[in-house]
Amino acid sequence: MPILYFILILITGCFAGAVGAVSGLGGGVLLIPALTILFGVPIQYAAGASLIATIATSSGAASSYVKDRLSNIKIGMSLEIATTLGAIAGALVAGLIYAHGLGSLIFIIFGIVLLLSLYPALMQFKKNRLKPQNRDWTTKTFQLSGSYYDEASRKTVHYSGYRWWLGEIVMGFAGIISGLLGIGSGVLKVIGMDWGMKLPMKVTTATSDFMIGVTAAAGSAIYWSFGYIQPFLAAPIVVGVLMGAFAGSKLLEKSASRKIRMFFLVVLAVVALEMVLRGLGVA
Amino acid sequence: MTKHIDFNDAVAYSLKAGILLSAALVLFGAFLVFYYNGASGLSLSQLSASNSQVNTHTYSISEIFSGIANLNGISFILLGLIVLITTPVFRVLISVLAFLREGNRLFFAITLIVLIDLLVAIFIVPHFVAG
Repeated sequence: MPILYFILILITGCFAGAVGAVSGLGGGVLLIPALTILFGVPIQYAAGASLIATIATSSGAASSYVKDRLSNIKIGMSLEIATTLGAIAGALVAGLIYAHGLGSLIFIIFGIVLLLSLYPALMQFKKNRLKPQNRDWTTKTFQLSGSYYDEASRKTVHYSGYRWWLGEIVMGFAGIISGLLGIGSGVLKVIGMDWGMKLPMKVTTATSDFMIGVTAAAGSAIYWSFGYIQPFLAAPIVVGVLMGAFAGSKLLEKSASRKIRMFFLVVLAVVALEMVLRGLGVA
Repeated sequence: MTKHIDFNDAVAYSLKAGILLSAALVLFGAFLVFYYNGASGLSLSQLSASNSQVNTHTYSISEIFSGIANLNGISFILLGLIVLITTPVFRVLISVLAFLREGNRLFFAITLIVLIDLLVAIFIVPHFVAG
C-alpha cells in the first residue's frame, strides 16, 4: 500500500526530527538507521533524504536564532569555507564508496561516528560554565566576538573566541562527515566552536544550526547528481522531519528533562551498535 | 544599528518563506502522485518501492520544468527540493551583498568564497561526476 508506506515514512521522519531536536543530535542520526533497518531502504537513498531534510530543519531553526541574535553570522560564515569544501569532498568519497558496492562501509562509519557523538552530547548536560576569555590575533581579524542577551540571568553576555584555525580544521572534518554520511554533523560543529574556539555553548549551538543548512546544501547538490535522492522517499521525509523538529523544539522549550534526553541517548547508542553490526554482516 | 536588525529579520523571514514554499510544493507533488496514481508513466508502486529506480539521476532539470505544466507530481516534489537546496544559497548571497554594502572587505571575500564553494558543488562538480 503506497499510501500507507508514505504515511509510515512521514511518521518516521516526524519522530526522527523530534528526537533529533530534543537530544540535540539532529534528525539524520536516527533517520538513516530507521529507514535502512526498518524499511529496507538502500543506504544511499536514506542518506540522500536525510541530508536534504537537514536543510529544512537547519533553516527553520536558524530563522528563529537569527532573530534572537544568538547565532553569530560572521563566525558561521568564516567557518563555512571549511564545511562546504569538506562536504564536497565527503560527498565525492561517498560516491566512490557506493560505486564500488561498499555500502556496508558506510554503515560501520555511521555507527562509529554516532557512538563518538554521544559523548559530547552527554557533556552538553553540564551547566554553562564561564570560559576563560582567551584572545589571539584571529580574535580581532576574524571578529570572533559578540554579545547576546541571556534570558536566565537577564544579562547581556559579551564573549570572544580564539584559535580560528583550529575551528576551521574541525569544521573541515565536520563537512567531510556530513557529505559522507548524509547527516548535519552538528555535534562536530559544536566541538569545533566550543572546545576549539572556546565560544559559549548557546552561541555555538545556534551558529551550528545555521551552518548545517549551508553545508548540507553543498552535499545535497552532489548527492542529487549521483541520483541518491529518491523523490517519493524524500517527500514524506522532508515534511515529516520538519514537523517533528518544530514539535521537538517546542517540547525542548517547555521541559528539557534530563531523563528524557538520557533515554534518547541510550536508544541512540543501541542504534549505533546495530549499524556497526549490520555493516559487519553480523546482524 | 536599526539597518542591521532589519537585515537580520529579512534573512529570517526569507529562510522561513523558502522552507514553507518548498514544503508546499513537495506536499502538492505527493498529492498529485496519489491523485493520478503515478507520474511520468510509472505506477504508484513503482515510484514508492523502497529500492525504486526513480531518482534525481533519471530526471533532468528541463524535464522537471516541463513536468510542472503537465501536473506531474514528481516534478513538483523535485522542484520543492530544488527550492530547499536554494534557500541556504540565497542566504549566503544576501550576506555577500550585505558585507559589500557595509564595505567589510574581509567578510565580503569570505562569504564570496562560501558562495563559490556552493556554486561549484551545484553546477561544476555534477558536470564531472554525471559525465
